[in-house]
Amino acid sequence: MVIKYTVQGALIYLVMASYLLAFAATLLKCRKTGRVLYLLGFITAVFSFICRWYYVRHIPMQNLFEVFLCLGVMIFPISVFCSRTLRIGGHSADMLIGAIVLFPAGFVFSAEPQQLPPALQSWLFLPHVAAYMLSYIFMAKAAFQGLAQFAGKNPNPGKMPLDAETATYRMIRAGFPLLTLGLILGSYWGQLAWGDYWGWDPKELWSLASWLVYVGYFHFRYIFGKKYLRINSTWALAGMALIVITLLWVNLSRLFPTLHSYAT
Amino acid sequence: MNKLHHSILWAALIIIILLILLSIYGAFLGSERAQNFFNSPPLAVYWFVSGLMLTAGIIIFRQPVRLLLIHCGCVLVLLGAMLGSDAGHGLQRKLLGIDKINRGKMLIYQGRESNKVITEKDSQIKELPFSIRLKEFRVDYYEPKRGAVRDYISSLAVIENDEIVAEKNVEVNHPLHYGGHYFYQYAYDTQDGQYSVLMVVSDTGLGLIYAGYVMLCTGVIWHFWLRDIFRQKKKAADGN
Repeated sequence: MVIKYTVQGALIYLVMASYLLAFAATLLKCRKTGRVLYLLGFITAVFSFICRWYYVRHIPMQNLFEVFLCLGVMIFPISVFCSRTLRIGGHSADMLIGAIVLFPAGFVFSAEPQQLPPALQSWLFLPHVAAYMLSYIFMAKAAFQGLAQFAGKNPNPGKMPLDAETATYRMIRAGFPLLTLGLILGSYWGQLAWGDYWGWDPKELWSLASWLVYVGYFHFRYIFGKKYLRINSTWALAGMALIVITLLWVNLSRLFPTLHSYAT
Repeated sequence: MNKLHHSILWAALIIIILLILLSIYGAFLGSERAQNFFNSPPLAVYWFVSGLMLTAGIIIFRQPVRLLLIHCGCVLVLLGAMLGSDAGHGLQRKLLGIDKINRGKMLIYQGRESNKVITEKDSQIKELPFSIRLKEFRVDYYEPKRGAVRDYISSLAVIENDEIVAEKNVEVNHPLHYGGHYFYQYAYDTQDGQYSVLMVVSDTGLGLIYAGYVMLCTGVIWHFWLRDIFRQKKKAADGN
């Protein structure tokens, strides 16, 4: 664990602090203060992302530091979209998720700027990575709803709140097309850059496995509906576990020699 | 849901779970061994069975167009991948007499031309029906002559019957597509920059795969997003 004594680092810590304070305030029923702090954290995160962009002079989604910074920015618009449009709760959990995804950017991964290698200079860079990151946030929220279902709690607001299982389904419906786009754009890009639309690379296989878990979820839920709520939620949690492996384990462990080796 | 429908859905579920487990197993093998594993005879059986089950599902279930797009897209991807595999190329050779190079490399010196490809599978030398001239090879750097590489560029001309029929600067992410093959920048002479190595990849089945991708994406977006949006709009309109 390394503390970053840079402006970039300070900005990240500021965002983390705001998200955590927002979380604490929401838990203490000061919802308005929580919302203001969350918004302030988001604005700081956007500023920090723009600084990074200006500093490295390419879209900052290249290494794990930049990816996690970007996740810390995306969490806010998604949680606003989910609560306003889809009427999904878990606002406070999002604040915590925001602080958690920024932790690796703040303390673990190196912020050493890198020039974009030839393979990453493509119009597919932004849509491929952005689709995946957005979908990962939706799937994280789905996993949270799944956990709530296991715990017998209902985090969703309103007079007629959605039950946690339906909310899980709704989140996965929102995230799945993005997951599919990420996979397919990646495959198309692989064909252009490496001459292979599918190279059986460990990262590709883990990402296929996580995509298939959600495919399996849809088929299972189509067969059984709401008969086995816990199994439905287990699919959502398993999907999230595979996503974490795809995003982190593949790049950090020496077990998987991969072409997607932008990690360290 | 009658018995037939039920059993097909169960089979689909088992096929999906099996592929999840196989993918995870393959991830531990590393890409080269995983590729061999997924192309081995038992796995070929698996791919055929999943293709057949998908087709059975498409025929037996009365699916709306959006779900048909998704499932037919998957079938097309499977078909394209089978056609493009080593086995698919071998089958074409036997049945149709088309002897196409699936994968290989060619080395061309600057100013010269060549039509010889060393195949990846058995290191044979095969000839293309046209030749490729390397007009120039160069490496671009972010800062002049040092630091990180920005790009590797081979200026190529395709020559058929002593005439130039195509020209392209092949660089990373921008292959040349000609005569049923893609040509990629693969390696180069690190000492003097005198030659460039191109990777040659057959495009057999790729059209099917891309068509499948488009169908799959359209179907998924339609099924999971657009339907909800339209429904909500309709509800709002009815409410007024």
